[in-house]
Amino acid sequence: MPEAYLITRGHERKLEYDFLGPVPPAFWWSPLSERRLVDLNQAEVMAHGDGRSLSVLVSGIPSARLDFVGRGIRHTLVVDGLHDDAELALELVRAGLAAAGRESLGRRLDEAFDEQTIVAVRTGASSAAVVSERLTRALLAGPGPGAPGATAGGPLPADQAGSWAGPAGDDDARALFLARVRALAAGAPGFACTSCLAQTATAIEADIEGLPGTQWVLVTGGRLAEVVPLGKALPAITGTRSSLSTRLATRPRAVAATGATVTALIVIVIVILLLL
Amino acid sequence: MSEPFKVALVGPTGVGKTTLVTAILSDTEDLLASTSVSVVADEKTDSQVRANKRELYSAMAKGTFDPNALPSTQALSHYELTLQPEGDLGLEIPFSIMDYPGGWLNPDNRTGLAREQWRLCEAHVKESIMLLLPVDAAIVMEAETRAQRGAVPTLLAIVDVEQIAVKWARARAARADEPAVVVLAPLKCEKYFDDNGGAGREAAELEQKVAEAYGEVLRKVRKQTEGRDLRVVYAPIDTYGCVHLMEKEWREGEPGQLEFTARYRFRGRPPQISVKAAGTVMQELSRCLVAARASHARRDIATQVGTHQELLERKAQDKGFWGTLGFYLGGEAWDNRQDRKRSERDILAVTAARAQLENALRKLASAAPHPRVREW
Repeated sequence: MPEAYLITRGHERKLEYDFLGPVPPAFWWSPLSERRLVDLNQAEVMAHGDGRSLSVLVSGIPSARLDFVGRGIRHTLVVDGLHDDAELALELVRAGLAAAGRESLGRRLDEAFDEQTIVAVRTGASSAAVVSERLTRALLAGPGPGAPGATAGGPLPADQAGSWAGPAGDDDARALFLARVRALAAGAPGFACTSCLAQTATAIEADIEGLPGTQWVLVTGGRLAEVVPLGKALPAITGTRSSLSTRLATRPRAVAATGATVTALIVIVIVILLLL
Repeated sequence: MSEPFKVALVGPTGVGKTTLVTAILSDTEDLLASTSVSVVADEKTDSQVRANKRELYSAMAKGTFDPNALPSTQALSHYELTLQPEGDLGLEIPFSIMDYPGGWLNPDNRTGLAREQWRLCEAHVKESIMLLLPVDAAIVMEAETRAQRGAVPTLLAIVDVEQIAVKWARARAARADEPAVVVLAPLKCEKYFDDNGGAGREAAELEQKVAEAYGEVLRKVRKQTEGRDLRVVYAPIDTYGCVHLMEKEWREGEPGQLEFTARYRFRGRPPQISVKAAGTVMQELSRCLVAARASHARRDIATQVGTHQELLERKAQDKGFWGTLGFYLGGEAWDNRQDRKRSERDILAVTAARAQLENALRKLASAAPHPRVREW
């Protein structure tokens, strides 16, 4: 059963951004934010699978409410326990990847949480259980007509093994990202996230080093032109046109390293033979 | 202290901290213009700065300026800046500025997320060589009635700033041989000066009011750091330069508490960004490092390390301020990177680059401060 949590703020100065009511048992996105792969101040989408469960986070969801100096408030939605509801996970991720989807999500959250409700929960006048109940209702209501999350958007490609990065503006990259979210729901461990901070595959490779499982990073504002493999992974050539061409054009490091080792061995053998 | 050199940015929500970082970058670039050293934002800070600039340029194109249209901070952010000589030689001096939602300064506001993340903020503050206190100049200057003046400490979060400042000062007192500098930086002060396109003549009044508002904070910091060097710098900064406060509104927010809102317009046709005094932050940081290096020349800061593995471990180590200073200025950072045999030409190039970096640091440190800047 999915459990949803909401980070938002109230109008008043003291009602700063934080969880409204219940707090998730684990801040599973911390490894991504501490490595500065993601920025919760901006619009990001993250999914995490640990082999047993799937969680999704969507940040930068616009609210129509304003804070005490008139700045637009943004919501961050965290949903755990999505392994049994891959469709809801995909719907949230699709919505999070498009401005219209975020706006639709923001309207649903605003309807569920008006200023009075937020003040009541923050001041303890209303129980935290209200938040869970309203969040569940808002999520089950669906994305609304016309929103990108409303339709499945066609069949997804097969998930590609290994870690990848691709540009968020590329249809193939987005489809492969969604395919990875579905794989995470099916029990694959790892992260799939957007990054508005990272600009190059080199930076992303440094950021994902040591993270468990495999990672898929959609770069939203960087300099990636196409889907590229990350790290040591040797993915299967089963992808779409752009990823396939990238794969063929890119020489994975592991292959390069093997080539260098073989060359070195040949040189050593020749030297030994010459000495003999 | 872990690398890089850290700066604690402690200010209430809405004061314009991200814009300040953008201004520091821009003004330091100008200060370094005639050197072969540049100030560089890392890839991610660059993304944040570009997002901030996009918002600003969009507002300039529309001809309307609303600082509140810039998104507020809702989670921890790091800004990483580096002083680098020309060429990719592995020489650099990195600085890290941490930002967080201003409301988290108040312990009562820290619940789930904030409570979890505040330990990271505190650790950063305690390791910082500089305490940077941004101040909303408009709040200080536009409070006229008794009630408005009474609201100023709350709006500036003085009590919370004081608490963090005391923690920083205690940590500095425990590391008496490391630098300690406080920079009080009034922002949004274009209206009060006549040196940047405006006609304001209230610079002295602003300084006096900031001194009054932060008097107790500074007194406590000085008390905690008695017997050690402490530098307190007052640096009123124009982060935009081309805006002017037009309207202000004081209204009741929470019961018994006044809120302040200001509206600004662009100055000039077309408006041109003209940052003032933001380079003070990097100047002061450079001064810290140059003074520390000069006074501790006797220290053996170039640690002798041998194997490649040791070098890699060394980079990741918690080295403390002196270790970090030696790592970056003693040449160990480059030695670390060059773990194989190097040519004489490489050594000459890196020696020259190291000299450039030190010269640039000295130039920044010894440059005359901006006329607005005072040492208190």
